[in-house]
Amino acid sequence: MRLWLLDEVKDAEDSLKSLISVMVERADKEKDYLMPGYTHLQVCALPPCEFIRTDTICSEVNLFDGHIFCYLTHSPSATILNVYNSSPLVSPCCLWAAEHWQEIPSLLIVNS
Amino acid sequence: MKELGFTSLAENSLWGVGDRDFVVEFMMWASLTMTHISRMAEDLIIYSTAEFGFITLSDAYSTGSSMMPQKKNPDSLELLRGKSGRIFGNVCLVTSTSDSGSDISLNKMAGFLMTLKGLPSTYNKDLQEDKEPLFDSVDNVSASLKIAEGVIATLEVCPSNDIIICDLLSAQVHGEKMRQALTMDVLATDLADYLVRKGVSSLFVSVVQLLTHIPSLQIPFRETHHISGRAVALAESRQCQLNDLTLEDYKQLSDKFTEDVQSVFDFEASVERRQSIGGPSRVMIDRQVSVLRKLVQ
Repeated sequence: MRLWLLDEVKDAEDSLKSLISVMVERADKEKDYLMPGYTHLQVCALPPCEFIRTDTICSEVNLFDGHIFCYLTHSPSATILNVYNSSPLVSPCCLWAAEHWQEIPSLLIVNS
Repeated sequence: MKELGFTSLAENSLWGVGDRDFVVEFMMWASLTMTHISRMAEDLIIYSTAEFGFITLSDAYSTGSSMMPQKKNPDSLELLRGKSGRIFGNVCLVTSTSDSGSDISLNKMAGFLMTLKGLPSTYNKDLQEDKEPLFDSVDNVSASLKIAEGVIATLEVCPSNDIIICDLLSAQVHGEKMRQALTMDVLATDLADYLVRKGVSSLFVSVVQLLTHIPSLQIPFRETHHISGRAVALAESRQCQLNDLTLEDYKQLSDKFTEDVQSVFDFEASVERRQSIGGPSRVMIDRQVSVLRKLVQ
């Protein structure tokens, strides 16, 4: 089952990379389109700056595909590193997990 | 070992037969991935409603309503959102009972962690319960990623500033919707920034300056924020947009307003002023795009 999952992880990783590529290319191609930014599902009219989540939308107006797609893409792209970390975990070595499990959260933080 | 694609050996045979961490690890990863997919699906569902009308899903990824022919339902996105719950259930759902037995899959695969909890060391027959939830997670997360790619690749964006090139019959309606969504009050922060640049002064600050002999400085954003708020309230009371207020109106709110206040009311310029990392200006989008491109290389 470890061997089987090792193959499946590679397949999932390829699918995720492919999804991210499509999103990034659309973001780049359509970066000039404007749309309002939202927090709390509301247009940010006169938002107190400190209440705006920095990982969401930092301006009241966004380049639609550019900013939104980049934002949407950043979320799943954080998990791609987790795929890389899943692959060695499929390997039958508890020592690897013991040595490396602490790195996983920090890798995710760097990229999220 | 290396030929099989593993990075190391099982140094302990008891661990070798009893370990299912790799199963849980994958299902956890699948759950986290599906959380992101699900939230993204929710965003796109909202943007595709008639009320927002920012995007249109391709016909291949949506269906007509069984009852109301005018509707176009975002089935693909709803299924992605729905699949996420199923995949969470595979790894951590405690139990699921259903009298009708309508959701057989969830009933059969009630949370693999619940199987692992309390098992003695090494192999126990309980561990064969890993198969169904793992196979289900693998199948569904792989399919979901491929469907998400198809939805994103084929959806049409109805831009606000390219109405003319949109299809006159369908997309133009969306273009107008998007344009309407860009109301002038979203530029209220820009109005406050404008006053910061002008170095506005209030009675309170003037008194402080008089007492302390500090020369006139730029005034903090919190001050100009209040003035901008009063401009929004004034426009609201007159049921007009911020750019419909006259220069005299603005001068009554602060004497620092001059004719160039109209230059604030430009959406493109507002976006381009956001030049710090993470902002929506073109140069920062380019930066994000290049970071993400490197990631998937």
